[in-house]
Amino acid sequence: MLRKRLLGAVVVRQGSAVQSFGYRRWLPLGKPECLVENLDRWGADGIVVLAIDRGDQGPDLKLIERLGALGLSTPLTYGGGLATEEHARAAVRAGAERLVLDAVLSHNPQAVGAMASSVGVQALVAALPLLHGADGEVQHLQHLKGTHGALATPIRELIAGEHVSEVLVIDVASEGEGHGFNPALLQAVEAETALPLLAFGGLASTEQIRPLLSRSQLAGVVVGNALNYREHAIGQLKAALTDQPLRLHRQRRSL
Amino acid sequence: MTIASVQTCKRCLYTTNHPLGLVLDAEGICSGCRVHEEKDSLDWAERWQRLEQLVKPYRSRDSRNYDCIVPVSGAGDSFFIVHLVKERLGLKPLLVTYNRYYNTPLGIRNLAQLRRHFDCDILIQSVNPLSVKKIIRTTLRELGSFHWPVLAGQSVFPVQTAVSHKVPLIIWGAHQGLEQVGMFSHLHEVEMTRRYRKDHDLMGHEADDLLSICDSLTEKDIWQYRYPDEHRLESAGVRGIYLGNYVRWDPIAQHRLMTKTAGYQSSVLANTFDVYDHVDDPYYMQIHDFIKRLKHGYGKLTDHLSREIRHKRISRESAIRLSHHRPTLDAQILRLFQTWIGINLKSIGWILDHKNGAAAIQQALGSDSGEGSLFSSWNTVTCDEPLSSTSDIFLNDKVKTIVVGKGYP
Amino acid sequence: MRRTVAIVDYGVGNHTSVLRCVRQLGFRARVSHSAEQLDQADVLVLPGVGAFPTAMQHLHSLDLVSYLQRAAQLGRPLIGICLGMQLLAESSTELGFTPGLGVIPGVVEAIGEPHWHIGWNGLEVAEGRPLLQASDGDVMYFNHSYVFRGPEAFVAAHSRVREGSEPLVAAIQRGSVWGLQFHPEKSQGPGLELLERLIQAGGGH
Repeated sequence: MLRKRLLGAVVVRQGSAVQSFGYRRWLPLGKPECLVENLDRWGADGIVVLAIDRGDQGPDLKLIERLGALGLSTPLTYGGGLATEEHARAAVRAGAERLVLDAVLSHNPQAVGAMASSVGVQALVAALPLLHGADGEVQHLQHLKGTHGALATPIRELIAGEHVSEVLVIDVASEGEGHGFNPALLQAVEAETALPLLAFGGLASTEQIRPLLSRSQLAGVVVGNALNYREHAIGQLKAALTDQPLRLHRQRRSL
Repeated sequence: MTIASVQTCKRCLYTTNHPLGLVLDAEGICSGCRVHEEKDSLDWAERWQRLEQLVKPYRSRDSRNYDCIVPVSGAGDSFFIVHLVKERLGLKPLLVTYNRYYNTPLGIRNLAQLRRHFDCDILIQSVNPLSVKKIIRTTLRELGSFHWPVLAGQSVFPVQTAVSHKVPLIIWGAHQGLEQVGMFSHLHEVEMTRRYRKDHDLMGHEADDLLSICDSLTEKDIWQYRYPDEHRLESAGVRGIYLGNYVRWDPIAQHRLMTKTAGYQSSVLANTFDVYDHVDDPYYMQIHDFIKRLKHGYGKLTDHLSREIRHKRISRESAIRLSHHRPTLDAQILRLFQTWIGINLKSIGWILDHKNGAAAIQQALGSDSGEGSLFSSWNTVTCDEPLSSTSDIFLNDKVKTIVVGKGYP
Repeated sequence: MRRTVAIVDYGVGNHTSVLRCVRQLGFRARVSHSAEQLDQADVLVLPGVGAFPTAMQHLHSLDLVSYLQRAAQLGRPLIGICLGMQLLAESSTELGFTPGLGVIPGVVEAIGEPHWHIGWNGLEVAEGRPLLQASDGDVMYFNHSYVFRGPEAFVAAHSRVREGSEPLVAAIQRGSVWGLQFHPEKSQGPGLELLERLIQAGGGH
């Protein structure tokens, strides 16, 4: 039976790993390689590296290569600057197992089809940074433009038509604060697609994670800042979530 | 980052070039200064209660074991940390210290005073000197640092001891990332991690990473600095907490208190006004600080000044004036270092030559700092109490360092 | 005596993980597509990520199809991983019909429902596979949308997306040739242990 996943996020800005707060504020953390290697050693179910300031520079291939050279034994997902089929192919060749697509969904949704033919639909994850608009409606944040509005039709078609294999729902307002993830955002996306969902933003404790994992469409949670405040953070979370269908922490001796 | 994009905080003296990473907010105030503001807004009585709750499960019911490990040295915040742990929290600590080999007589004296005044047991780790020097020659060449073994030893020996002695709680003082650049808020209650140690303390290189750089280092030279196995740490529940998250941390105030009540002794040091922090290491404010300036563009003086700006003991203008002090190197101390490490001045200069190291060293050796006048006027510049040295044995007459174990306590 | 490993490089996918992982386990390993260098290794590893037709095209252009077929015939140990496992089959219908290496009878077809098998899943090891038995119940990382279907005689393990759903073939074996649908090099402890066992046994039974 497929397990649900507890993934670790490493947010990269100007080449450094940072703590991110609502896409607006940042605090330093260190070298991305050190954080990624640490998550691998801790036995995270996967590592999600998000290079949030790529703009139109394309993916940070050198970063992916450096991370690949670490010899990780944990699946690596990369997002940031992926806009074309060539970008996707290059990122996978450089060592990313799966790719997170964000800005391209808004700017050039047609490119997603070409990416899928090249690297396979199972390698693509659509990121949807969401928040509540003034009238309480769930809206999609196009953070590069700084605007937010209703989820555009091409994106709804992409996720309804399964041109990507998972959707990463990002709670922009909660991100970084460790006060929990807003389930209304998941509800809004569940209405648009049957794809498995991942939740990212504001998660820090097992009490916050548990109710999300019990949602049938949720395939996993992504934890960012909170993993950096204590040792063995992944192990501690998993030890308190043994009632959930997560992969057991440390089935065998560590290497 | 290009030179053009480096910015300075509007309050302290740090720039965005800080090796730990520094972020400025919309008002141009840095993350370090912002987190420092918490020191004046948090309810410290409430935070002390949190600390009491945190350590409660670690109070040993068995009188034969220790409640916690406390890493110490003959300088720094050690006296205050032990005071808090033993006298305020009432815990039974096992002190551990890593022998850096080139200890000052004052450092040795303070360490003995610490142990005796607070009536504590202490473990001292010395790694064989041949390996230490081999490692230093490698790290000096590859990382531009001779301080690596001290950082590695000080940060791993307590963890190894926690595992071997089955005492899982390690109590540290202040978290450098939090205090300098506000990497974490006090409210995050950040704890010790292997990741931070490798990333920042060890410049991205753990013990085994040194092996892949240079062939002459072998496993038998570095295994002592290895972090314990992940599995053992997790099952033993080893955990390192920082008192700075629960106590309003103010090194100068703390040192003054410890000098008065616990017999800590201080000394005038080169290249800074602070007389408390690094009295156990003859090279720290000398060649080490020199290398820091070459690599990062600033010395320990900037760290001390930024700290005191934030504690409102000195104005930014006065701090900037003091920061223009010209760095000096003492020729005798430098020779002592060269003799010990076995590298001559020319080689050290050549190793650092990508930043005109040799020429800069010569200049510093010949420079007359006039620091006597600059730093001795601390209390007139700041209207604060004088910073006085209470010891004259920082280095003895013959300028010799002490290796713990040769007849010293 | 520790086995030596050659990872077949045919221009598809990223070999760094597999190479590092194999070396970390203590085996001498290299990446190559030269017949001469591949000949020198005890065990061949065929990794792979991406589309079946592209992969077969690359293998043909490097003259590796007959090489690998002959290696299997000669009883040389060969381990196919993910797409590398699928290439061992007779054919695949991914993006049209493409013949495979035909080393293990069976075909590769779309999974059906759900469309992809992504994530961590438990291994159900079949009877009579002593080398794999120690990994029964271990959770491995899968990431595929096409699956092997073939005679039970060659199926070494299954994995199931949900309770009661169609068992998906997770491992196949014929003589000295093994195929692993999951990524042992991305499955942390359990994956590395399995890989070590298979390599050291030299692909034996």
